[in-house]
Amino acid sequence: MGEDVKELARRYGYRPYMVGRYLEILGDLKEVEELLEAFEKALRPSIRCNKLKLADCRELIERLEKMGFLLERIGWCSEAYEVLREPEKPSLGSTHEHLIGLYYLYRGKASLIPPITLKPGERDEVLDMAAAPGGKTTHMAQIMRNKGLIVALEPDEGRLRVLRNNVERLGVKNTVLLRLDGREAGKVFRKTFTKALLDAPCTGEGIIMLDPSRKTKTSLEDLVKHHEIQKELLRSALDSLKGGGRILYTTCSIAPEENELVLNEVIKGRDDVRVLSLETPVKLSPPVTEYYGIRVDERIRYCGRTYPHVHGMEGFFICLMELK
Amino acid sequence: MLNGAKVRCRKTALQEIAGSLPPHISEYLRREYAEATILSCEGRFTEIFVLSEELAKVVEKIIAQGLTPYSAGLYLGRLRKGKPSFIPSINILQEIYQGTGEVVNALVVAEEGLKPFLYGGDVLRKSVVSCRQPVRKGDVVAVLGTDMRVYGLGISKIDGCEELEKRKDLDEVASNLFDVGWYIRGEARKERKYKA
Repeated sequence: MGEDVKELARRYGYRPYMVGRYLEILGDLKEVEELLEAFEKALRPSIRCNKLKLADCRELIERLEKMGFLLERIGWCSEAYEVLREPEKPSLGSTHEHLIGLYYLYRGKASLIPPITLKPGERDEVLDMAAAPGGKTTHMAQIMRNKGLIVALEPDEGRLRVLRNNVERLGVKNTVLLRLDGREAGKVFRKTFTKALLDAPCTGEGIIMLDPSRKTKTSLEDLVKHHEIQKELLRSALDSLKGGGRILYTTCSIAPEENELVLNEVIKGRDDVRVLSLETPVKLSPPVTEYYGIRVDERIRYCGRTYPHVHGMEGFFICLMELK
Repeated sequence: MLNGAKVRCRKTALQEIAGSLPPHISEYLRREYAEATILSCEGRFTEIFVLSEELAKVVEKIIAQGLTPYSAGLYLGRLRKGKPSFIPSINILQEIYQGTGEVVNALVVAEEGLKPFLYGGDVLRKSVVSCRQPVRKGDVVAVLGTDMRVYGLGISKIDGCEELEKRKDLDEVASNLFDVGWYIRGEARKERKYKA
């Protein structure tokens, strides 16, 4: 590891191995510094107007603006708004409008991309593999206009309660919540779903601006542990799909170990999985195709990434696959 | 789990539970959800859900494998053996009020009264701007804001709207049973103390 990498890690307070990897991903020290600098900047929160409870989002915007919020519509998601200014009181999480489910609050806007990209329809049967706290579940329900079916899994009881609160608060009624580890889904729901969303539990290496403790808390062992679980989850998700079914794999991490390398190991040798070109609402950066000498499967070139220094949002990985 | 460790869910019929529901809710269900499946989950208490055909099929599959859904479809509310016999969900009440345009069995509360209510406070006489019959002492009453949205549920301390006239400003007219603040506060729900 070069001295320049160690120096950057020291200056920004990271474990040196992390910064070394960022250089391997981006290939340019100046860009690595831009990335680290972007992780220092706070993100603007965003809200999604809940069309399951509101016929016209203007009612919500008027109510919030009257309280002193300044909102700007996000061009690529007509129901979502970036919050440019907040009054001292109330906070976005404590307004009456939030409590009665007129909107869902996001800490950053990248979470809006996966449901839009998966495009669940009113006749789809969708599996949400690791659903809590429910931002993506409730967004999919909104896109599906409360029709069709979502089975949302969450193994942790406390998080399941939060998920249920959000599902109820937002008036979702096309969803079944189940306390189940997503790794069991392939057995319990073999060849059942037309679509699946796997927002895999991860190290959160794309949301360091929201939780700076992530600069140092992930050891290489933790990373390997996440990688193994993510592979199991993805295999389980594929088993739960009907032929022709689609799965969107996403993480809030920029670590190739949690993204391209997971896909690489799962789809390697499987000719029944196609990776589809992404039709995302924002233009994504390309995936990592070579990493420390590992050339990943050709199909992975269709996946995409967001970076804080490029897109002004959290770092996400997104990949859409279809089971033949 | 929220509803205790040993929960059993089974399909039931609307007529089986209709007797425990307030008339405006059972009538609405007969009209709007005649074809729907009713799911009853009995644990520490009995929770009732309304399922579409697609949901009913997958719930059947889940139950057949010895698993229990944590919640499903439209949460209708909680059945109890004692009084009140049914605690409706916020969503079913909002749906009925919006769908029928008729607000019944409710107290409409001014903004100043809504704030403390959303932190678990009770409804005081001075904050009630209108009362919609039928309202009976000891029964569940919906608590609405002036925007006509449901913010929670109370247990009525008054027997009929006309009784409001006899109450002083600071008299409690409904005790807080559930408010939408619970969704965010993330605490165990207050209805827990109302055992089945």
